[in-house]
Amino acid sequence: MLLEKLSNARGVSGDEGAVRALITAHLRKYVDEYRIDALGNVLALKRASRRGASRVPFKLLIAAHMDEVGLLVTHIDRDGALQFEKIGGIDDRVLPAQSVLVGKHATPGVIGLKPRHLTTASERAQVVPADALRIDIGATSREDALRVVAPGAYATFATTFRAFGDNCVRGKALDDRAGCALLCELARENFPFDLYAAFTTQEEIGLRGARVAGHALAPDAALVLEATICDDSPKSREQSPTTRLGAGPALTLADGGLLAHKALARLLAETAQEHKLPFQYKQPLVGGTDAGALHRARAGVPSAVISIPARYIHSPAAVISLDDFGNALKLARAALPRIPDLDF
Amino acid sequence: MTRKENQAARARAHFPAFDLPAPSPTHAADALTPFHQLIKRLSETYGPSGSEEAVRELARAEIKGLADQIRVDAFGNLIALRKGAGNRRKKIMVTAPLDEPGVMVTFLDARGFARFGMLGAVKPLTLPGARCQFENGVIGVFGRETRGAADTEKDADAFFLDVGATSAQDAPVRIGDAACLVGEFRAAGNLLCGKALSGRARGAILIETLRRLKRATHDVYCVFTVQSQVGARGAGAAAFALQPDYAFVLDATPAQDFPGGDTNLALGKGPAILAQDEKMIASAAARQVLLEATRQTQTPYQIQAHARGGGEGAPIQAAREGTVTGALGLPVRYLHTQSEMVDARDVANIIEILTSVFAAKTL
Amino acid sequence: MPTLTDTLAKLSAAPGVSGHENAVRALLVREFQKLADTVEITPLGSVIGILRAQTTRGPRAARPKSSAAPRLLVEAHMDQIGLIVTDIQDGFIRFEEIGYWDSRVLPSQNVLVHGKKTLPGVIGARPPHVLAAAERKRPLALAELFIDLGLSDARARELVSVGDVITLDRALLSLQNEMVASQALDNRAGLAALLEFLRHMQDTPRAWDIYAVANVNEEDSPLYVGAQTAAYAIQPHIAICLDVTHARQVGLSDDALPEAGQGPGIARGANVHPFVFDKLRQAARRRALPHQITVYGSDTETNAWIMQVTGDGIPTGLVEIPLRYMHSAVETIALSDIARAAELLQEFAAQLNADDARALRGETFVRAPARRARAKRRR
Repeated sequence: MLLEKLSNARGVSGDEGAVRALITAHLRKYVDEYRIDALGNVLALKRASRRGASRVPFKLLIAAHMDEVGLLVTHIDRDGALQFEKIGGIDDRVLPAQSVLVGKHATPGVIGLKPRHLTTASERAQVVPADALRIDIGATSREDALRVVAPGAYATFATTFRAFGDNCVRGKALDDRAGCALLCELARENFPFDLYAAFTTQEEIGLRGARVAGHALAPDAALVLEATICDDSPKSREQSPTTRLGAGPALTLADGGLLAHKALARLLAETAQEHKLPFQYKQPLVGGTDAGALHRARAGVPSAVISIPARYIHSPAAVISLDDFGNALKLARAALPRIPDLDF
Repeated sequence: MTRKENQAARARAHFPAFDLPAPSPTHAADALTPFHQLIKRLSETYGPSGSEEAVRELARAEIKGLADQIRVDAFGNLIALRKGAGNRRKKIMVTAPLDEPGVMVTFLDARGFARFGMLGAVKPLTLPGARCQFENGVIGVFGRETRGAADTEKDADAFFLDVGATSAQDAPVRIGDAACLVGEFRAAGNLLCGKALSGRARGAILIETLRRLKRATHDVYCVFTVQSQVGARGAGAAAFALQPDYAFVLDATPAQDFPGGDTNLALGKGPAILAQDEKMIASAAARQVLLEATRQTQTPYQIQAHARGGGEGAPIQAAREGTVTGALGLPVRYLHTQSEMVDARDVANIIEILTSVFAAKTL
Repeated sequence: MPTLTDTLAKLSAAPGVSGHENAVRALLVREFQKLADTVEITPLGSVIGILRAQTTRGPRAARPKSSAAPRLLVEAHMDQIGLIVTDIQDGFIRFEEIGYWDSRVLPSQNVLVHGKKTLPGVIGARPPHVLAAAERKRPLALAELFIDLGLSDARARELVSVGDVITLDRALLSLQNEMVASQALDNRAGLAALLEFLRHMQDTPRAWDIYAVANVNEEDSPLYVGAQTAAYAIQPHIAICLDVTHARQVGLSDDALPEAGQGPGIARGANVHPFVFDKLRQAARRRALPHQITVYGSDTETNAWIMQVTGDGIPTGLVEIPLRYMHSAVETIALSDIARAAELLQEFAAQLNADDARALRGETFVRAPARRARAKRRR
């Protein structure tokens, strides 16, 4: 299963090579061409099928980001412990007692905390900041550690993808490998427009891959496939769950970086209704996606987002529903051919 | 004296003001000029960021016949070109926003109360008891949770909107609906006050400048921008497309000529030529053009040296190979509230300055 | 030949607050004219010196107007942090910052106010004798400081306007071991390295065109507007940023930081293209130049951060000069780090060839025409 391979692949922002290799191996079978740009984006083109193609085909950019949040080794202490920096928005509270894989050779390491026996109540009331934590790979000294790891090495959570519950899956990096998997599926099909599939880099550190992809490809419209916040656990105050797991793909009306193109967002919602596909609106004005950069490319690109609700994103184990995944794919398949007919 | 008369006399003694003549009115209640009527209409039109359609149509109708080309770009910016006749004509871009600050519904609870997020720099503290209006005319009243109020004065999450609903199902608004603030337009002498006024007065300035401009030396692109309040998203895109030689941003300068204000910028002392805002240092060449225009037109001006407000300048300046960008600030009191206040003389002076720039022999 | 100290002294003495770089720009234009084939100025005021590819050693040949050679951009920002006049009260100047300051380094500094004339002044504050003990214990906020020009209110208003900029008045000071201290060494140290690099390239054969760029407004522009627009205009195949970085110093003893005098930093991380990092490190090793590897997870807070995502994307590198006490009047660096940064870039630029430009393009895949035709028939 492609989603499983993608989730297990290791690709922290700035180090997406392994994910890129998986994706290009898949694309070679289906697209007309692709290239890797200066940021490491995969920019693929699947030309319009003859059916329905006008003389100048419509250019639709669909983007999903390859990178995941993770850790970067910044320095090795004399005793061989690895100092690290968080890449992307990771909550310090999920780091203690995690296992990680470090560097090209996926060297296992653990993040330890002072034992409960030796801590005071006031220490236990404090979050230990990431810069006070270390990765322990079992090295005896700096020199010993340098045999397998150098500063600049990236570490990912050592989580293995697995299915569980009612058609749910658990894994790291589902934000946004779920989107990558959707886009890989879409790239197999034929559409009446030129499909530019952009697998982007460095989304988690500032939408950087998307920014240059949007400029280079200059599309007529853009759609972003994302995994988004899902906060549907019970809470003390009645407030928005942002999205609900299993309630269908989530459509963005507005988020922290985008006011969705109205006609495009409406087309997605109407298509879902017509095809009797479940869908939901994501809580407006929270979060952000590559669309924040894409819609500002050049003289502006009409943009929208389809998201898959993902619990516990930016942690070692996110959870998504394969029903949502399947419905997102159905929705995209049904809606995409209608996009070129919109009056932009 | 009867008992009654006695009481009345005592009342007069206690409230002597009752017997004083009324002070002369400071401002005559003149009828609005057609130009001020335009400002009023623009101010009262609904148009939070992302929902600028009605304002755009109003502006488009006003500039009909005043420009050589009028178009709306992919972002929704309204762009009007007035061609210049000069031999050494440059391409000048001037921006004013269409949108206004507002709120967007993010959640409806079981009792029909709405939670909302900000579109632009609306300050939560100014909201409790104030009203907003949705595109469909529905009025919402802002409220604030009382539990733990001390901690929530600034916390936007503690605010809610009462739209007169009893459940999420019967609420007359939906998630994603945007509302603007409610604030009736009032004029008192030179002072104009209303919601969205800082932006719409600038829009009116562009319209009026186009109307008065007899002969432009330069190619002038008047850009009525969208999504200015949520991070100047429309302006950069327009600059990318137009590639102007000079850009002048009509900005709002926070005037604080009130008790306890902490800048020395004031209403009625002329527009502010910006040395900088939060995100841009104005290009020296553009500042010179504006200074020269104030000299030519004998208009007063102020300098905004404080790094306040992030206008549309930065993304324009950064477009492509770089745009020489200046900013002219309309001084505004109570920015981003339902009662933005500007001085009509400042508005008129900006029109003078722009007209002079557009008709200048050389830049 | 001017010494490095002379160059640095001249550069740091030329005022160039972000967005007000006239004086330092004029100096750079003169220097670039001596060292480049063509000098251009961008609409926002960045200076570009172009040195065309030349495969033979020796003096510069005739100057071709255009070139098909790949482009290497090497840049340093020319602006410095400063202050700006916001008000004049009884002859005293009130001010705000341009760029980031810690207001604790400002009291009692000598300054120059760039009004109708350049006016010397001093940043004053109320004497501690008249203050309550609690007040003396807390640092002075920017709003409490003022500049004393020794002028009457009327004279001050005549010579100074709101919006005029202010720089520190501090000459270069030579310390032990070829260390120097001054204001504005962020980033005049980078500019000195850039000029030194251009000097080295005069008779160094090279297959790529060299675009040396001194950029405006790095310190006070969230969009890094100078670097972004110059890089957009040049569209280089590689862009290198030369800037200063925090060195180990009092209060920053972390041995993860580079040390002044131990060679320039070569940055790696998401902001740096792996190919560019490898080539820089190879160049340092080949010349046996001391260097230090610095690691950045995301934002390097330099022009490299924006250049990488300019236009269609630019392979970017970052070479750093370690500096102590950043954004103060006593920024301190080792001259040797500047010299080595210039040598490092010389070696890097000299080694670039046409294959490198191709290698940078990355993997491409185009479906074979025959297969494409078959695929079409199947449809």
